[in-house]
Amino acid sequence: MTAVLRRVAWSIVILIGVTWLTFMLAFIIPSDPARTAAGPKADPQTLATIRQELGLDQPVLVQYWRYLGRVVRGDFGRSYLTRQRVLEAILERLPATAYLALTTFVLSALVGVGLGALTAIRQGSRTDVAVLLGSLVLLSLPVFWLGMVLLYCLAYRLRWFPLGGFGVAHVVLPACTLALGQAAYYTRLLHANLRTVLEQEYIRAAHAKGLPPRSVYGKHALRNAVIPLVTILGLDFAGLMSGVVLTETVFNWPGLGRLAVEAVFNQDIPLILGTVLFSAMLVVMANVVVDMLYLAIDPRIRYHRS
Amino acid sequence: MRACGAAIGLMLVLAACPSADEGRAPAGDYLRLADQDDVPTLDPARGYDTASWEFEDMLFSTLVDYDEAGQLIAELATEWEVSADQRTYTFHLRADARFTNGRPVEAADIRFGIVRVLDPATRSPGAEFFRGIAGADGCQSSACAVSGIEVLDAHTVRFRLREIDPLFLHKLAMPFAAAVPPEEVARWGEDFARHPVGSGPFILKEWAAGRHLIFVRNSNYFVAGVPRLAGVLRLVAVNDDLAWLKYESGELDVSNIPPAEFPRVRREERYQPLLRRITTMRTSYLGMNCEMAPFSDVRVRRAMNFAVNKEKLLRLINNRGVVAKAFVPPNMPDYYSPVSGYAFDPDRARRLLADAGYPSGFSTTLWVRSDEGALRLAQSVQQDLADVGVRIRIKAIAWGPFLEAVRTADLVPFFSLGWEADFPDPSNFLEVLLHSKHIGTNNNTNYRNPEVDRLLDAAGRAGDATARIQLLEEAEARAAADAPWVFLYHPVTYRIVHSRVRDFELHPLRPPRYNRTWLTPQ
Amino acid sequence: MTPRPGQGRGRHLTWVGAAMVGLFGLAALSAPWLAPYDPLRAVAESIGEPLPPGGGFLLGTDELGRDVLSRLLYGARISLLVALAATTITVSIGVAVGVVAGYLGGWVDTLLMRATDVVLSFPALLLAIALAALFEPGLMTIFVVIGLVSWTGVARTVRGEVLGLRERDYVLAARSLGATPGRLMISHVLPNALPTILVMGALSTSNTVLLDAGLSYLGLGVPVPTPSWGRMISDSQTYYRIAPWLMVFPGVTIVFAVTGFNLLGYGLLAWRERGARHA
Repeated sequence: MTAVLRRVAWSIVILIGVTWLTFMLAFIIPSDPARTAAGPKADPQTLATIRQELGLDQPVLVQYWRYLGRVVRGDFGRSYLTRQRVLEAILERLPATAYLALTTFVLSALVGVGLGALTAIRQGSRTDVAVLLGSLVLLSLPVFWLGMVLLYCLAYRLRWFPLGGFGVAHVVLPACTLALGQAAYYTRLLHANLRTVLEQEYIRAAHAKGLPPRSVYGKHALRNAVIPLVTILGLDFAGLMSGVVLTETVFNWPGLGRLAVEAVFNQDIPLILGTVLFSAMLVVMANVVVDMLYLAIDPRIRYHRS
Repeated sequence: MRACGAAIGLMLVLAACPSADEGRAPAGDYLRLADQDDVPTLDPARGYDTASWEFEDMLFSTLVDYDEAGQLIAELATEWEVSADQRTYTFHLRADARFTNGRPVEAADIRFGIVRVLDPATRSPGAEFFRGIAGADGCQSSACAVSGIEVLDAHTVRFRLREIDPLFLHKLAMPFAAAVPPEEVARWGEDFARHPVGSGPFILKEWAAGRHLIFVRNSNYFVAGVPRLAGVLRLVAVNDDLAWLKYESGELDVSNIPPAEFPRVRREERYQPLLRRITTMRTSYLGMNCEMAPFSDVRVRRAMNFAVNKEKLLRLINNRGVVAKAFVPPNMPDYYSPVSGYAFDPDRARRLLADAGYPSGFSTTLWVRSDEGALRLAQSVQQDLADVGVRIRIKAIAWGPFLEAVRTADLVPFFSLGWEADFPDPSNFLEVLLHSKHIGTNNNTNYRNPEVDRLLDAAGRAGDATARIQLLEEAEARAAADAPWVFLYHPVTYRIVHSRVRDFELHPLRPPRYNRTWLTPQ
Repeated sequence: MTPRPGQGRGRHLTWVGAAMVGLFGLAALSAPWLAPYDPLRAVAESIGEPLPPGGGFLLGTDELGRDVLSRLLYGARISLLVALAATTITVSIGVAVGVVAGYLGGWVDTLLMRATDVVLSFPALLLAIALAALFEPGLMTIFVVIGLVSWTGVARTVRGEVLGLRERDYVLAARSLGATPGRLMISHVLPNALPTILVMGALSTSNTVLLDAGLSYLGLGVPVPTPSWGRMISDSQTYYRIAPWLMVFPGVTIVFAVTGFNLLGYGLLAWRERGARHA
């Protein structure tokens, strides 16, 4: 229990740090928020009034406190371009990204675990080397280029998949694009973990006891190798978001990543900062969830508790 | 614990799962359109771009409107009278127009719409069009009672102008002057842009941000038999390539033609009956800041005009344009531009530069919108100018900050921009862009020529149409000789339609209208 | 990305990686002599219609008539420059944070590691595009932006390394002789952390190149018309159906460069593992 509480407490600290960093970003940008709010033809008088209204003449910490208050209440400001509430715009696009992310995760976990296990079992063989080299190259591919190549070959040339846009079938190509890179990463990790695990005493003991290979590899080795993978998952959520930004742009997927790119393209500062803040908060929360999972399923910890 | 997680995961996936018929039109005759960007706004006071206007036209009504030929006709108004001194306009509204919330449209709604545009709190880009109304010039710093708009009764509204404005009717045809229900604006506030309520032929049924907009027919529209469509589906986040492929597979009714496909489409027989083209009333140009060296010297500006190869530019855009000789597009009605233009002549450019004191050229920065097409053109221009010794650095920024920068004094020496006619009159180009009183708004080149100002002012006061045109032609000739712009081209718009689409025409002045369009059953 | 140990094999790939990196560097440095044409000028008459590979143009031309091969070579210069400069910033910040946190421990460690956690919570590309959008576009911005978002992995790994190193005999001896913490960190800990730093440097560089390509693809990289691989890919999208080579070649070069750095990095890691096992 204390572990859980401690974890949650640290997450709150990090969340505050995240808001602070985002706030500082807003602070250091060269453009003047009062002028942006007032428009290019405003006179100095109007600017001064707006500056006071927005509290821009207050000390930094006071402004931050007010900013934090607004964030907690869900007020991330309004988009410069469409005047829509930023949080509303983000939440409108979130389901699309969630769908893409979940599909990607399932695909990459399946492929990654499968291939990783395969290579660890068949160490030193040509399959092993091929898979490891292949995964290295996959990791070296720019994700937007991979997406474009898949789009061109599989959607345009072969007409197997639809060409971008949003829908149940439309998620396949973007998810595969993202999943290939992720799977490559998981394969390598799992391979490393499994090798370590397979060399452990208890595996040899299980062999010696005459347990069937499937039981040895499956029940004991795999489970113990997957556990550290779970923590990497949370960490990698940030990496996944980065990939999502590019993939959504290539495939015109109407999610959070595309929203961020559009905001950047339009220099829509509240929206840019809002998406950055929101994504960081998602990452922190994903990490917390993953840590809880880890605490729940790690047999060593469970053993200690019981 | 694990089961819990799995259940949550499953629910998330199901919640996020798009419905199977996402992106497909609802049942009935829906016209299917697509574009890359979402519609910025549907608030008629705020929209000032083709995407917003296209759909605001569908949702709102104005006193007067344009027919297919670009002539003014009545919409909400049944008839109107203009006083002898041409400063008072009295409109009689039709009695059968209703807003989609049920209530009849009244004169007060017209007044409300325009006063709202003039209100600085709305930050409407259309405010400047209505400053000529009596009592409107006080609206600089706070909401004002515009005395020049009088509601005589529920169906009569009168406008009093401070001076003669031959373009006033055109201004009333813009979406800025649409009838807007005050109670809905009060109800929605800033969100009126996403929940518009108007009296037009269509109603906004659904707006899934980033994905699509669905409009349905307004069965209570005051013109019988209009619209003929059941509705319009406008997809978002569909780039030109994707739109083309959807069009080819029959999923779109109207599409742009991407540059990669264009040569083929122009050649093949089967596409010809489906193509629609129109020369827009638009001029693309490179503006030179006449107050910043070296562009303060007219010889330098003329040299730049001779240095840029405009035919080459046209090839970059698949020849979808006409080389611009001067400011006003050639399809401006009743107007014949007298200017012969600047031919491609790099030698002459070099001589002029040497005369002006730049024998080895100079360096400057070209500001461009960060748009792929604009950047491509900029790079072509950069090469041309490098050949005569002018070294250009290209600076790409987003549209909003770009406009702001161009209007800041002493900041931008050279920029790439275009101007599209708001109404079919040459003064909409010449006066707005070249009169010195518009420096700081649309006269982005800070061009100042007292003779041209005098001619433009005289044209503004002229009662006789022929004399007016003559004055404008002379003003254009003088300004073109001063070359505050590098004149590039007038774009020609091409669209291709599905074979089931009927009565779809492109409009020279406005985004396409869909009132009369219909679809043959397949 | 934190590298995982346990792969003593694979150190031979270091040579392959080094060769690839060397080739990349060579191409970048000798671009002015190798490139057959000026990368910024139209050298073909084919405005609006990209030419396929062949004729005088080994890899074809783009829609503005510019030679693709020349642009790729000059693009390599930019990639190399960004890679070196940004990685230098990344490694500098990361090493500084990692060494200080690992050596001093206590509240300094906690503070620095939590700060690292905060930065890690921001998806790197998202933070990078936000920063790049808010500032003037240009090379300097790219270096700084990439450097600022990538240092966390280096910091964590270096800190782990330092935690182990600070208990070594020579460090304890030097401390007992009265050396200041600063001096200890710089003269004793840092040099011995160098192998790890090199590995992280190589792996960081591969990340840097990818991040730069991503920024360029989104239009936030070096301003046009300077050729940059990521930008060449995004420009190719309009014409990909009639000119797929415009999309293929820049991608291949990126993959080549990044794979080279990755092989180098993972190979070096394998060397270290093998060294560590024998120690």
